[in-house]
Amino acid sequence: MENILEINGLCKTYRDFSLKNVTFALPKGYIMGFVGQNGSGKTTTIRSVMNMTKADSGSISVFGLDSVKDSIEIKQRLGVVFDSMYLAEHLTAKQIEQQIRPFYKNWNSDDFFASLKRFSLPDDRSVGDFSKGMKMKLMIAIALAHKPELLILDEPTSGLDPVARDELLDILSDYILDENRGILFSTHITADVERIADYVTILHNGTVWFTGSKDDLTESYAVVKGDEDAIPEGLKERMIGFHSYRNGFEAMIRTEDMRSLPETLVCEKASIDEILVYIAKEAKNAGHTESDTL
Amino acid sequence: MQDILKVIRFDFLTMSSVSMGELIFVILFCMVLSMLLSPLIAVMITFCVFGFVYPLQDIAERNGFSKLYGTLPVDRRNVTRARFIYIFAAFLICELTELVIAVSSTILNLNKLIFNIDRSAERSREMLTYMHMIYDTPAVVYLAVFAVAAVCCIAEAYMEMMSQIYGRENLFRSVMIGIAALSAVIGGIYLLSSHTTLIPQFHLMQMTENYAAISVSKSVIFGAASNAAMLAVCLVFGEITTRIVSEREI
Repeated sequence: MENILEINGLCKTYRDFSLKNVTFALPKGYIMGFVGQNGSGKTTTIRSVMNMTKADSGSISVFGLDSVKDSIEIKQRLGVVFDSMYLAEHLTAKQIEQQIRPFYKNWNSDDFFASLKRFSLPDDRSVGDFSKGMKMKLMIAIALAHKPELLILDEPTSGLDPVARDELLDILSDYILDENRGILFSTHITADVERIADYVTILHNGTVWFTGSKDDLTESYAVVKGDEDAIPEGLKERMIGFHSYRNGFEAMIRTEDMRSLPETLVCEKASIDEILVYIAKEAKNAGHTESDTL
Repeated sequence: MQDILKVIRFDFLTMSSVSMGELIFVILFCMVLSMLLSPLIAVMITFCVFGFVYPLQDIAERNGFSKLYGTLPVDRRNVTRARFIYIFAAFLICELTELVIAVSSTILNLNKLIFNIDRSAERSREMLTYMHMIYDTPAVVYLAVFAVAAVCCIAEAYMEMMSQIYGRENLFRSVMIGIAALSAVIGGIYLLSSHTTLIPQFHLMQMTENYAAISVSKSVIFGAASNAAMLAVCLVFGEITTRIVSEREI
């Protein structure tokens, strides 16, 4: 399977945050959900792909090209949408099209105006008057107008109402019908990932916690609840995000560990949302353990 | 170079919908006054060009253009360079427009239509003398056009450089540093010119006499030199800014 995007050992350190050895790949023809808590490093990773930030080490390859050396060629073939608008708000969509058109070799004005029509966006109104959903659709119309082979979206659905979110996900589903394309979209709304993503990469505190197919992820983890005394010996240490209550406990375990569980414990398949929550709890537990040791 | 032209076009389209109407109005207004009163009035257009250039960085900051520039398939260094060439181009176009107005005004000499009516009146005599002097020495007008455009262009390029490097919030400090530096230069020239023995060509009286006797061809040579200086300063300021700003992360 050919990868449209490959990130290998990406490291980047800021004063209070660092990306540590981020490695994952997106195969051509698929959608990857890039999930993690706020501040987990999703945007920094995307900015590194866009060569908007300088990595300390590691390499990024897009379409087999180097993200630093071939950055301009990559940007010709890639569309990107960030969570906030970065266009002149006093201009109309028509004027913005005139501004941006010359930068792209494959820009197609007909496609752009067809997208505006499809998204019900007026081309003669200042874009500053648009709602958040309309702005996001405009950015996507711009990103799609030069026929990108890879679409990167940074939190495109945050702040959108359910209808706008649904429309946006439909747009992405239509875009990926061409199997030579790929989508990487970061979000902390896991329902979006569950709906359209084929692959998932979970970033936690600047490190890749999981990367692989969505099915692998959801089949690999389960939430277990019940009486703490019923936990077989040695399993508690392998539990993720263990939390004990007055009447019992709950935690996440790997599905291969389910075999050793007694029937008294209740086990359910973990959703991506739950996986994220237990990862965060685990980090919290680890923090407590460290401070206890100290 | 193509990248730079694309970014200049981008900047022009950003500003044109904000300031173009007002700028055209001022150009027409100054043109009418230049034709009827004095070609020197055309020089005022230069000051309006600030309004066509200066707000660009505000708009860029407010709308997060740095992110947009980061996504466009264009070298970031060319984005910065383009801004300085845009500044030069704006003042050059303005200068050429003013020259066209000044030349037309001198050739048509339409002020005769107004001021010949009451030539004998005592109050208008001084004004008429001034008018005729200006119309008789078009080189003075051209010199003023070139000089004002050069000073304004260099001042704008300086402010652009300082605000890109140190941020818009420190612009007041940058302007004050600029004024202090300029005052020192003018003071130095004044000191030099007050001593004829040091550099005779800098002597004030000598300069004034030379200035009055200047021909159109000499003023054009001065214009070419001042335009070259404008371009050189914009390129140098652009390069300094590029080196500092392109190292920053978006």
